Amino acid sequence: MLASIIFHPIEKQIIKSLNIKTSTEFYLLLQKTKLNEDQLRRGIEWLKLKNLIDVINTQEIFVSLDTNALFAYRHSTPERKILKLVSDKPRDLQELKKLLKSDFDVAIAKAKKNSWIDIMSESQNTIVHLGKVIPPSITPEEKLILSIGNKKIPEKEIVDKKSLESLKKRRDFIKYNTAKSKSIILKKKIKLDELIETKQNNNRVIDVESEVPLFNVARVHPLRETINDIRDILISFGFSEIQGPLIQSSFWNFDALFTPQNHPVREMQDTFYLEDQSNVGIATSQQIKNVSAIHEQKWHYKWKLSEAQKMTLRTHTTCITIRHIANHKLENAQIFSLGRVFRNEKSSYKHLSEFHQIEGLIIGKDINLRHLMGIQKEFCRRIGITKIKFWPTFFPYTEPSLQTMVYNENTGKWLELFGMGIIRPEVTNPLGIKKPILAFGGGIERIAMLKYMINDVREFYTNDLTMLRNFKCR
Amino acid sequence: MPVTTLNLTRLRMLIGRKIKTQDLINVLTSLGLDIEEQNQTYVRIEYSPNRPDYATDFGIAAAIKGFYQPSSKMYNFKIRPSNYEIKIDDSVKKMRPCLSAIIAKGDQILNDEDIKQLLALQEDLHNGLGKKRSKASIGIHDFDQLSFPLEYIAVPGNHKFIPLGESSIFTMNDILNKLTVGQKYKHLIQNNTHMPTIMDSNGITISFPPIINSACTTITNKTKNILIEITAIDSIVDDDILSIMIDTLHNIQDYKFYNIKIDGNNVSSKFRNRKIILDAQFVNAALGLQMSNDEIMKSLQKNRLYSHIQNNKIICSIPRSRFDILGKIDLVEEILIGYGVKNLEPTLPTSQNLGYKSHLTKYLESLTMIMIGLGYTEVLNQSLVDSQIHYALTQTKPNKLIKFTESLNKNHILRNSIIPSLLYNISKNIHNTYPQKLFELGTIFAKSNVINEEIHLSCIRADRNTNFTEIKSTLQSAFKPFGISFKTKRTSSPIFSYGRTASIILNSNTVGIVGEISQDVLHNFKIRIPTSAFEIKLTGLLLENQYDNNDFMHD
Repeated sequence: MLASIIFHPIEKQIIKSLNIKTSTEFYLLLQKTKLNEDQLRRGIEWLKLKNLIDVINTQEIFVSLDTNALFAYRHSTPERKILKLVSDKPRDLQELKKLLKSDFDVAIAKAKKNSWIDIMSESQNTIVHLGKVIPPSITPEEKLILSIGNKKIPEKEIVDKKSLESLKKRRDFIKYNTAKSKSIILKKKIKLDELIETKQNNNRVIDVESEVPLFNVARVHPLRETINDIRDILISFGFSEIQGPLIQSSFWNFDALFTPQNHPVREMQDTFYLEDQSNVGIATSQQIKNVSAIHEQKWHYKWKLSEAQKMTLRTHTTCITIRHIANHKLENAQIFSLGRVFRNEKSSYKHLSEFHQIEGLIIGKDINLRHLMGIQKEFCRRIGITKIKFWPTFFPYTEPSLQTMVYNENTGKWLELFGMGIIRPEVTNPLGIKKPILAFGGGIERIAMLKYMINDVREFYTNDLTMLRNFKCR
Repeated sequence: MPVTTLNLTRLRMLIGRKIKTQDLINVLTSLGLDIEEQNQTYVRIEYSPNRPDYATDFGIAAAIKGFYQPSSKMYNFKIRPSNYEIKIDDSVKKMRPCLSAIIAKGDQILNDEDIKQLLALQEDLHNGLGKKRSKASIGIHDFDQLSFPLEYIAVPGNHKFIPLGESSIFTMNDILNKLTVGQKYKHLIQNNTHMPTIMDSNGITISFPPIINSACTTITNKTKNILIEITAIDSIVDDDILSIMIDTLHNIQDYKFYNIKIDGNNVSSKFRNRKIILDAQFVNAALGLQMSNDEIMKSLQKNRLYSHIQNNKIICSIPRSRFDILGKIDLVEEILIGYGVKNLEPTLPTSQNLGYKSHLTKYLESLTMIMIGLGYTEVLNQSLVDSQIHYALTQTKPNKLIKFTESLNKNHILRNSIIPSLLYNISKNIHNTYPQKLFELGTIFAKSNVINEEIHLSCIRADRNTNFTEIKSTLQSAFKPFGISFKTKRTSSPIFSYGRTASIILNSNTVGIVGEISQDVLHNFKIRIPTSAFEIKLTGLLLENQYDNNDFMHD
């Protein structure tokens, strides 16, 4: 297995060194391999990816001598100093104070405690003599100071804990440092001679099997992918795309679709009306005349042109497609429109005030409701939904009306995906359309939510790059 | 859409059958009622606003009963003649001129649940057909508390009576100003000195339409006989509502209905059935079926619509209360429901049509591919933006703000450029790795005398090393495949850095702006990395007209 692994010269240096001592600390490895720090770090990362080494990070406490102890190390401890002075001859306390300076207090205290000295009052003077105890040539504490010396020693390696404790109590004797250390452990010795490196051109050979860093991919938006999918499906069904403005007169958005002027959806709370905008040339005079007549006849109210002239953000796209059929007097056509629509409602995880809709119309002499259902069924099959059913429902401008319910495997619930029906004659007749029109439509975000398994529709518009760079292709 | 709650035990009792819950749900959905919520004891259903008869469980039970056990004969409620009369005084003719009424005499008293259902229906009718009482309002009274004839008359505002739900006397002015219901519907009273009332022959006020009824005629669980009166601004809505009330009362118990003479006229004639003539071919063409006359008639019966054959045509009788049926096509829906949507087999049309993408889409798709190739990720933002982000943070001032008459979000405006949205996107992505390169193709709204919708492309790049040359290079590279090369000319803008901003010029027209984003604007958006951007108007650049068709030219 190892024979297939190719090593970079850096890796080989590291392996060579680790073959001698399988667990080595980073700083030691740095000395032994003679690599620079950056090279060594990279080499270690590569070997780690190949699963040949382990890296163990540890934190260690080191002990070293502080200023006072360093002085004692170089010369002697204060108590040893006073002992030396007193062993020459008994000395006056004031004299010792002058000689010992700042060490005086510590020296007196320590030597006295050890009974190396005795202090006696004679007439007016205080004299220091040798004490009862004969001092050892070296104390355990002094031994410890000598053994530490100028070095930093891991605390765990110090055996004489008692002396360490007593030194710790002395001012500026012991310093602690914590150091992070990294041990590199070779899992198994590797015989480099056996490896492929014996072949020619080995410097050009690299590891082709290791992991590599990834790029951020530039992509289209997931909602755009859904829109493109839907467009492709409808074009393959023989539908052609129609587009038109987002701002529409109330005439085309409501009146032409037989929505009476006092209908609740036309209230300002439900629809966005543009302030100070109204349009005079909304439609041909014949269209206006016929539409107003059907409203007055069927809904029994006085139709007002001024209401029809109010400009809105379109609430659906049928205003675009129906107008296309009327203006071009189409008798046999399949068209669709795909775009943004607006509702004056509060945004939530389920609803947005601005969203995308797909909507299609079929006009032709032998077209019936079953065809509409067939298109729905096939559409769902192409987007991966096979469990569907149809329910009767109510829409203002279609009759009969159905809705396509699809089963959401994710939530275990039935969900309304599309609405459909035959456009009411009260819509087609006034526009001079002779043949029946069948219509279907639905929200695109809802389809995209199913596709990408997203539960909050607002996510499509937060444009979080983590999502936009990484969403799964479906 | 309106919603009602059905108690399943009570519903089964009204239907008079033991039906499994799942079967009940299936029938409800096949009648076109949406299930909002369901548990062991109740279902909440959504019904279409043109079927107020579904506002009570009586109406729904009757529909289910008909569906299970269609009877071959139509129920024709008889309205018996009587000498009861309501006089309409000229004083109300300019307020709510229309009044219709009916008396229902029963054998049994109402129970509390019946009353609850009637009040729910009243509420639905007030809001729906009655347009929040502005078109019509309903009074339901205990008939035995009244003495006829009644009079519908306007009286001064200091006229007093005890309103429903109160125990003391109020003047009509006080009702409007002090009671919640008065404050809510006060705006419907146009005349401040005289207001409409209905009084009985003893001078007792029974109603103050459209505000409130009096306490003395309230229906209770002791009421046997009922008077319904509806005042309205037109007689069609008046009768629509009365027909629904009669229908519902009939479903509660076998009431005997009595006509009331209004201004000397009988009203019962108004409740005759309409006839719609249908042929099987029309039905079959719409549904893609080959139903016989007989099958069509049976499907209609399931929805309690009765018909007979004359000269091979189906003559269907439409009760007054089915005013939602406007014509033949509405009967097709009734037939479909009777036939069962689940029995309708989907089939694909044998289409001869060829499908095409629009030119605009093809053009935008090419541009999208180029931007992706340049390493830019697509974002989508809404056209409705927050004016705070759009203007305040970018330190720009709108020359002409596009506003709405009413919006739930007070800061909502229509955007007139894309760059602020992209800056906002970058500001929301500071936790993600750089470089960040985004683009958006979208509609913006430019206001001059009228509002013009334009399609724009905007790109933004947040990167340690980004600069003017790089963003200008992105712009030129993106349009090179279209054979377009722009000139740039020094300009200034509050969004961009001084000295590093240029207008994008094509054939001496300014079509956009390119540059490095100013430090102040970056600071406002809390972006801590150099950012550059451009925005260009595509409408008129490659496509003369952005839509293939000429449908919208005269807008």
